[in-house]
Amino acid sequence: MRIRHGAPVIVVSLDEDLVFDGRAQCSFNDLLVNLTGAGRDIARLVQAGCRVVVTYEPVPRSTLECACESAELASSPRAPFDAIQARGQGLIGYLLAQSIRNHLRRLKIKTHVCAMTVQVQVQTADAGCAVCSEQSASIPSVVREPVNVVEGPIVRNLVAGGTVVVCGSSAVAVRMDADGYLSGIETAVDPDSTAARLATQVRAKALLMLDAIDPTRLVDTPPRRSGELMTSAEATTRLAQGRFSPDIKRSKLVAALRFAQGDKVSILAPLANAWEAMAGGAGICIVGTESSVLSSSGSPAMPLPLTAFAV
Amino acid sequence: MTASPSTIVVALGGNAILQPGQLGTFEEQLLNVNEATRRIARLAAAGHQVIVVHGNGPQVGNILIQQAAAEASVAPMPMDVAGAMSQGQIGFLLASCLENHLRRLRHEVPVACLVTETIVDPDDPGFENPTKPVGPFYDQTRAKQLMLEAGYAMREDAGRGWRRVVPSPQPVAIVQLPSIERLVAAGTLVVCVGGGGIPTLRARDGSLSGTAAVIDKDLAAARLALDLDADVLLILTDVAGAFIDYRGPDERALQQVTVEEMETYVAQGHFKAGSMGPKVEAALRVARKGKTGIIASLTEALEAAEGRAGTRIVGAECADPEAALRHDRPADSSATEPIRPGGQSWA
Repeated sequence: MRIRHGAPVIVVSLDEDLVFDGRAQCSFNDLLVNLTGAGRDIARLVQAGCRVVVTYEPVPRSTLECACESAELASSPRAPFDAIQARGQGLIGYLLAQSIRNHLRRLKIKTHVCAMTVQVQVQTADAGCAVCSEQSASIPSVVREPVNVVEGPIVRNLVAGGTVVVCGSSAVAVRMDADGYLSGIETAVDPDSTAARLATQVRAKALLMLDAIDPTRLVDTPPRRSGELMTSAEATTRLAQGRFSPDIKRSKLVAALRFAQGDKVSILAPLANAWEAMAGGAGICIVGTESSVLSSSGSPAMPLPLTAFAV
Repeated sequence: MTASPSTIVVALGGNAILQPGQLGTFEEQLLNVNEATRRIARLAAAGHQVIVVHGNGPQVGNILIQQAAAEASVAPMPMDVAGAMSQGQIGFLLASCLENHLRRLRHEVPVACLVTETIVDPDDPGFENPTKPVGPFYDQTRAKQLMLEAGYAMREDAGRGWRRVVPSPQPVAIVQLPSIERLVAAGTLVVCVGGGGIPTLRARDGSLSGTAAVIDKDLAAARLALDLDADVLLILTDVAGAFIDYRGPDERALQQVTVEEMETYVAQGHFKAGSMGPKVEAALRVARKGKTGIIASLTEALEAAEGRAGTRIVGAECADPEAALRHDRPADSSATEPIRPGGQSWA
């Protein structure tokens, strides 16, 4: 099976808990198990007919601190934060791309998979600048908003050709000076906002934010049915009223709302139900306007009629 | 600006990133990469389609040493994963510096860094006799423990201690070739096949998995050049080219030689294994297919591509190999005003 030209592009954002189990340290075998599971579910999305960009958070903060510690123990020079992030992109990108490729092969789907390192341009004058690191002498705690994924056009080119592209979301942070030159900067970038930013740049139809938890359990009254639509306006009101569980990261909701404008769709779902969520049967689906996803009969349609794109 | 733009695979030696005697700080590597990419950017600005392959030996070595030192508190990763980590780090450095130099030269092409895997043959003779030392030195007790517990092959290294040795198989295929081809066709400057690519085995069911090995970067670059049908493989190193009777009384720099002539020099033992030997072999592999293999100093990259420096190996059927590369020299504005390297400032 090949992906038909014109199939919808979706950006799949993997929460760091899916990769690292929420632990400071993850053994290679644990990492491999986690990424193999993620690769299987992502391969199903490709099988369903989507063109997919996958983003992940390459290195959790705790691992960064361990990286510094290991350099110190080895009496070797410590690399700066952005270089460690780049190293993490090599690590996770390699294993995740390999997992997706192997699962696609088992499904007899001839699609290329490619991991690439990406740089995210940040505004050094944004609010994050005001926050100084108090927790660690070596790792910055400042989290900045992404302005632009430098390699966005390259990702778009690859995914347009049907390649599954894997890249980091809290990627290497760079700033641009007045003359347009880029330089690395030791800061963290919000991974959810980066995924939403990249989704816009590659003209994705949907942003699928996958987590280890089921977000439908975390919305207060009235309870939500899995897959039920929520308009961007309703979700914004709920967020302002604090009616989402604190277990759903606020940055995730903000990024989802930012992307879900017009005919764009943001879906928050557990990884295990990724395919069902795309078919309208799981998770929370935030839409720009309800009419943008209504069928001709007036009833809510699936966010993306996935099977229509498979050939 | 260019009469005959060519597709050039540039193989950048490890010394271009970390020079002998340096500590290996990030700042040192950044300055080295900045200088190397300044010269590569000139090639691109001259109109050539450039693909960059880089070495990673010292960087992988450092990662392995750090992992060994901190194994009690930091989960170690296998060697193929360490290779992937080094690709990410070096690729970022190369890409960011290239972008800035290209901007300075007003030749703004997109730069992509791909994490790349290279397929090797499980029946490669290299797997029967691992010879490539990697990572830290151990005492004999720890070495024997690692041999038993981790299955490592270990060898005593000239009285300095014991080191792990891994195979050095031949590169068979580049997994990400279709993506590289697509990006090159779109005019993207691609950084890929770092350290020769992550050594990867294909199982009977077709699935891929990494393996502990080291692929020669120059041979992998030759594989990529042939698969891309590139015009030139340009191997950049820290000497002016290939020499016969190197450092001997009859030392002579080779300029343009045919495949047959170079094979004769190889048979006469003029090029050391592990040094100039693989570079000559890599250049020969592309020249045997009618393309051009060049070995040159990093400082003369553009001159070598223009046929004015380095050692050029050409196939017999290549009547006028320089014609394909001859072009007007671009204005080198970067030579008078250094470009501020990417990643130099840390807020």
